[in-house]
Parts: sequence; C-alpha cells; structure tokens
Amino acid sequence: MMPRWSRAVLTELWLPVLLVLLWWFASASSTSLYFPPLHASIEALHRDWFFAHFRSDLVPSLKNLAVGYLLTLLIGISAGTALGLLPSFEEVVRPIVEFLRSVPGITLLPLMVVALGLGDSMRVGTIVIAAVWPTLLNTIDGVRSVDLVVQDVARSLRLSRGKRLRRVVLPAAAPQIFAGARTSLSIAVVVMVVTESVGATGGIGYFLLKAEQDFDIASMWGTIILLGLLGYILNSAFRAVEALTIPWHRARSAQGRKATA
Amino acid sequence: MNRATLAPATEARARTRTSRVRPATAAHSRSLLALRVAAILVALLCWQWAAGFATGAFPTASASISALWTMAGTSAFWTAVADTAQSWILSLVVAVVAGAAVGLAVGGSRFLTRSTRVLFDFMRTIPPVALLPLVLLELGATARSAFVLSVFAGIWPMVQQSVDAAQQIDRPLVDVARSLRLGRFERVRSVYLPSATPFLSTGVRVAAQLCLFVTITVELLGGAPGLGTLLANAESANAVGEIGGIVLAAGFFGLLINTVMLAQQRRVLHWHPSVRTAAS
Repeated sequence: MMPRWSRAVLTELWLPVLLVLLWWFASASSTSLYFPPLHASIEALHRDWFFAHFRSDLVPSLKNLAVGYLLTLLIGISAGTALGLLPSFEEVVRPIVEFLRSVPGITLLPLMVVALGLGDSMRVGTIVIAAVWPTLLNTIDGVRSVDLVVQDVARSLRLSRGKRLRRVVLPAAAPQIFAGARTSLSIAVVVMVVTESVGATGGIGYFLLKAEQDFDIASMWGTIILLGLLGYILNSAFRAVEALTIPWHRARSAQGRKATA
Repeated sequence: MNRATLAPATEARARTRTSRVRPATAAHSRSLLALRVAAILVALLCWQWAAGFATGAFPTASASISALWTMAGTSAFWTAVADTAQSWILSLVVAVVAGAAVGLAVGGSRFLTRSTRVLFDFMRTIPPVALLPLVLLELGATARSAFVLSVFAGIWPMVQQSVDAAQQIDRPLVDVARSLRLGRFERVRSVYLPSATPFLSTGVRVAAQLCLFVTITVELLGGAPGLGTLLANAESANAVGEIGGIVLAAGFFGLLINTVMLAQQRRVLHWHPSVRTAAS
C-alpha cells in the first residue's frame, strides 16, 4: 500500500508531467518556426534568465511589481476601509468609483505616459491604477458586512475607534480583502508586462518584445514559461500568506473564491 | 456553503440594517441623486483644475468631453466600437461555453479535479499578454489575434468557477432529490442548476471583464482594429484631447458591461441570500 500523501502527490502531478512529456517528445524534432522543440525553449529559459538577463531584465520588473503592488494594497485597503466606514459618503461617490473601475486599466497607459513620462514611476503608477479596484471594492464590501451584533458588542465594550478597527472590523473583513488582493496581484503582473512594452530599456516585457523583433522564438517561449512560473510562484506565496494571516478562514476558502469577483 | 444555516443569519442582519438606516423615501432618493450629480461635477472640476497644471500635456475634462463629442459624430469611431464589441462578445461566448463544459466535466469527478489542479493553476497565471508576440507573429494584427488571446484570458476563471460549482453541490440535497425519486431532468433543474448558478454567473462576470481588458490590449499594442487602435493612433498623433475622449469611451463601454452583467446576475440569482441582502 502506498502511503496517503504520496498518492495525493501522484494524483496532483501525473497529468502535468504527462503533458510536459508529450510536449517534449512531440516537439523534439519540430522544425516549425513558431513551435520550437521544448528542449530549445528550456535551454533559452536557462540561458536568458539564469542569469544573463537576471539583473538587467528580471530584477527591474520585479521591483516595479513589488512597489506597485504594495502601493495598490496600501491605497486599496485604506481607501476601502474609509469608504466602508462612511456608508453615506460611499453612496454619494459610488457612481464615480463604478466608472473609474470600469475603465479598462490598459487604456490609461497613454495617459500615464503623458503624465509621468517613460520612467519607472509611469510603470508603477499604471500598475496601481489598474490593479487597485478589486482590493478597494472588496475592502468596502468586507468592512460593510461586519456583523452588526459584533459591532454592537465592540461598542458596548467601549473599545476605542482604533481598537475597533484593528480588533473587529479588519479581521472580519480580512477574507474578502484577501480575495480582492489576489485578483489585484494577477492584474498587476499582466500590467507590469504591458507597461514594459512602452519606452522601456529593460524588463521582462521589453525582453519579450525584443525577442519577437529578432524572431528569436525559443527565447519567446522561454520567457512565456518564465512568466507562467512567476505567476505560479506568486500565487502560491499569496496562498501561504493568506493561510498564515487568516487561518480561521481556511475551511471556508471555496466560498472566499466565490467572492473574488 | 451551507445555505440552511446561512440564510437566517443574513436575514436577521438585513432586518437590523434596515431598522437602523433611514427608510428610502422619495425625498431621500431625490437628494441622493442631487448629491451624486454634485459629486460628479466636483470630480470633473478637480480633473480640469489638476490637468491645468500640465498646460496641454494632460487632457482636461472639457477637452476630453468635447473630443468625445466630436468623435461620436464620426463613423470611424462607431466602427471601432463595433469592432471591439464584436471581438469581445465572440470571445466571451466561446470562453464561457468551453470553460463551463470543461470545468463542469472535471469538477464532477474528484480524481479529475485533483489531477488538473496544478495544470489549471499554472495556465491561469500565465499573463495573456505574454502570448501576444507569438499570436501576432502567427495571426498578424487582426481581430483573430484579439479573439484568440481574449478566449485564453476568459476561459480560466470560467473553468475555475465551474469546477467549484460542480464540487460545491450540497450532498444531502442530492440525497434528498434521490430519495424523492426525482427524474434526471427534475434533478438537474431543481438541484444542480440552482447550486451551480452563483459560481457560474460570477465566472461569466469575471470573464467578461478579462475579455474586454485583453481585447483592448491586443488592439492597443498589436494594432487589431477597434477602440485600442484608435487610442494608439491618437497617441502617436499626440492628440491629447482625443486620448482623454477614448479613455472616457472605454470607461462607458466597461460600465455598460459591468451593469449588464450585474443585472443578469441579480435576475438569475434573485433568490440567493447575497442578492436579497444587497437589495435591502
């Protein structure tokens, strides 16, 4: 009998492994321009990113992503909490918020270029303005749906405003804030790549564009794989942080995912 | 989700909420409308004032609105809107149908759900724009590139939500249906569909937003015909007012989509606690 955990790992991994093997052997003798053999793509991935372009292209991208995402969280959660605690004000500005979040973030790129130039501040700014909405809206919803009975208890215990916020409101809203923050993260990664196609001198998106112009298809595939890996790692890291921060929510995670929208 | 235990709590909450909030009288809703209009005007004035500092480099509110007004009289603008709308709706329909089919089939089996988890997680996190150069090389700057990438973007949330939908079906409810000897059709209609629709309609809503985002990105960066191309042209002509106008137009387009999607979700889910409390 196989131990239980190894059976679980096997069930999770047999299909991905099978698909990679299929891709590997089916493309091994490929001469197609657009679908190079997998081993060529992986060689390109290894050659380009570990570590020839690591400092010049990967690090700047990740820096912009990190700064942009932190600002996104900061702005989204604080503005969302404020709007959530002021329901009558939120009701008045709701049409404006609804309009702003409906603007497809990418159309703001030209505006950000006009306003902030072609430097990193434009990239960070575009990431924030495109990615902030899910966090903001989910925070508003989370803060507003704190159980009224719990709020009454907090009030009758005469908790101070700050304490009420830290001990009652934010923990109760946390699952929904996390759901929004996860959506914001995946938007931020996409926008990071897009902003680097404009006036950049380095970055993953810039590298991808250059590979396209040079018809270096293996490098393109290598970079696509890199981006997939990056997304996967970020997503797993996010889940780990979520599990550590709000462990009580784990049992209800399926419902949390439903609230992601 | 356990609806049986959830419903009374939410209903109680809805009651306390309505008792505390002012009743929605006609006078109240009229003054709310006035306040909202005032807030929008203030926001526009702030925009106008802030853009004034850039002296012509950043579009002012008035320049954007008047540029949008002028563009709305041209057929090129409406052709672009139609192109974007067409790519968007085609890709959304394909993403939703294919995603739901795959997701429901996989979610029906515990083994398949586990086997595909890593694969779906991985595919979901590949930014669609990473594939843009590849698709452009192969299909060129056509509506077809926008369609392919947009389907790729929209299908994953739909798959995810459908897997969840199939997994979340209340087992006791299925047992009840079985012991009542409901027919297959009746079982699907009154057990499976109601418990799947909250997930599916959320999937549709997310997919709709992603599809629009990617459609416009491909147009903007890749030159497929549509609003994005119009924006790229305005940018290269340095027509600042037009840039602002097109962003406004894209905003209205997105707002329309969001509103329609929310309305369909409300209509399909009129019985669901989340909608019933939101309405109170």
